[in-house]
Amino acid sequence: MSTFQQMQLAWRERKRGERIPWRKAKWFYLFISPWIVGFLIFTIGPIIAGVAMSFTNFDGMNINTLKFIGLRNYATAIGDPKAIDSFKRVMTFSMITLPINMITPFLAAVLLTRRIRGQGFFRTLFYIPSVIPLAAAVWIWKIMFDNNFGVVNAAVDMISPGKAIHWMTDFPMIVLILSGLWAAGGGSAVMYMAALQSVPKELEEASMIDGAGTIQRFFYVTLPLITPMIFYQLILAVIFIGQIFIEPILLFGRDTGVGGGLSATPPRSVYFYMIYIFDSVFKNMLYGYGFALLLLLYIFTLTLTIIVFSTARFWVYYEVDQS
Amino acid sequence: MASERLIKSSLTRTKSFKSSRYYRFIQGMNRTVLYAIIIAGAIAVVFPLAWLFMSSLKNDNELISWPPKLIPHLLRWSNYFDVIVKHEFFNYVKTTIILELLFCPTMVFSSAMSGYGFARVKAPGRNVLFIVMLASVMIPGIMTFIPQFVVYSRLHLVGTYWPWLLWGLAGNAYNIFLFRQFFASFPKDLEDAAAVDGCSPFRTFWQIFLPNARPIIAVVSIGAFNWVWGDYFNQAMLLQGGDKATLAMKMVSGFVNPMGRQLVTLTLAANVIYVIPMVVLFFIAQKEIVRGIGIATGIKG
Repeated sequence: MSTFQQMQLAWRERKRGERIPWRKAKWFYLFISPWIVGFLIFTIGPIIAGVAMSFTNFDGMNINTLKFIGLRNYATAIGDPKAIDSFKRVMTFSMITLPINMITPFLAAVLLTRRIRGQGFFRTLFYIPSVIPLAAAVWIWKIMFDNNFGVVNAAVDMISPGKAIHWMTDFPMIVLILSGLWAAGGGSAVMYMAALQSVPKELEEASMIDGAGTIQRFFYVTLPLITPMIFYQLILAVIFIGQIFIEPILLFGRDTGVGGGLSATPPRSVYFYMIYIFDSVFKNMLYGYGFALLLLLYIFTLTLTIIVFSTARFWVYYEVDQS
Repeated sequence: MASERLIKSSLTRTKSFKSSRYYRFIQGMNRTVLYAIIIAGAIAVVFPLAWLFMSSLKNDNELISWPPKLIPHLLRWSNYFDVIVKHEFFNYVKTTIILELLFCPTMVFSSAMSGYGFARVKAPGRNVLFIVMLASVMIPGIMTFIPQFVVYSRLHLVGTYWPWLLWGLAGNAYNIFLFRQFFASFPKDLEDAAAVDGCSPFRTFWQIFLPNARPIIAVVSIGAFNWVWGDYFNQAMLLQGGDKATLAMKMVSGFVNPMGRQLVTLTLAANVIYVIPMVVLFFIAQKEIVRGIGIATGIKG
């Protein structure tokens, strides 16, 4: 067969859609069978069961006296002042944290991508906090921010002698913001560095030849080319910041009852939505109600994500057309 | 002319300016400030860790003394000795290692298998399933945890190690994605040669693709190890026993002396030991990631 005939055959086959015999195709399903089974059992199954659970009054034990109560859990949830307040708190926290956690690592990345020596060393250094487990980090902040012997209060004492700020009780949000930035900033900074370094040098040099100053070059050449990474960080932040839950409990929790660390309750100002969900399910045994709250949060997050995605058209620049 | 001067009006961009001593001074200043900021940032990042380590070498009284000092008067290495010997630190390590042994190998093989399937084995519906798999990342963990917890309670699996084995067997979208990307970059000739030699698809996977995937295997297994090592929530919720306590759980609750008083510096020492493997593995993983990216894309470093 001539090359042309071969090409024709291949193109025709492609158009028809390749019929792959089951003999061969079954291997694909065999290979992914662990994931498929796991996906059904650990992802799809729980979600369906959870949604079903949210329409009942399940309390962990009353399988026999289960009652289908329809949307009553959701109606209660929307009107529940504790839910609304905890939701407002986490939203306020997100609105403060989001800019901080996006801009600070970005600035650090910009600084680190200048021509400096030891770039790799600093990049590794800034990333190390991200690999510190939460349990250890909690101790670090507990002893550094302590009222009576914390380093932070020592610094405060140097500025205004005799004054000791009760960080853990009066300003838990600030502790959360700083500890969150410390732990997560490195990862974001490394990503931003990668994005900044992927900007083609020819473009920057071309702009310099055309007379662009440093600031102009940054805003008109560099920044647009890293909008995909900014978009990615923004989406991740939007999705996950609303779910913050363990850190407030471990850092500020009081009344450690039976069961160890997770039964502690954080003070009101950091009592976030997800913590209320956790308490509803595991302390108040309102499984159905808790899952309803969770679903509401998920719908909210999904809506927010879709909104951000739809604005991407206006400010995210892709080399390749994404439509 | 006036128009020429307008174009070249910015003095700072002229060649004569850029070679002047004044400009070089400004450049030097900029560099110094840049380094200063970077070093200040580095100190801010490292300081909490240094504080943890130094505090772990303090006497309990020294820790709560005022004003707090970074470096203790005497370096109390006995803290470390006590934690390991008197408070049986390695019991908790043992429990965690059991979880690791159940979770890491299964996670690696399951993810590698699925990654290979998605990358090299054509079948109808493959693309759809791949997208579904990627989308599953967006589901919050606690949403799948609560119903699982109900099921585990019903099946009396709470307080056992089974969940970790099952989670490992199920694989993980991130890891599957990593393997898939990596395997997709292999040349097709490899498979064809294997097929000519009569290899079944599984043998091709097991004896050809997998052995060549060492960097990704390293990255995935280190990631899995780190997850189990640092995961407080799942372990606290599912392994509630005092004698079955894992490392992560114990590191949070800390050590107490027989009278119930919390031994803070001892706990800090334990935490330092707890943190070290993570940092070590991080450096190993970094090397492997760079190597893996080098193999997959041909870009070195």
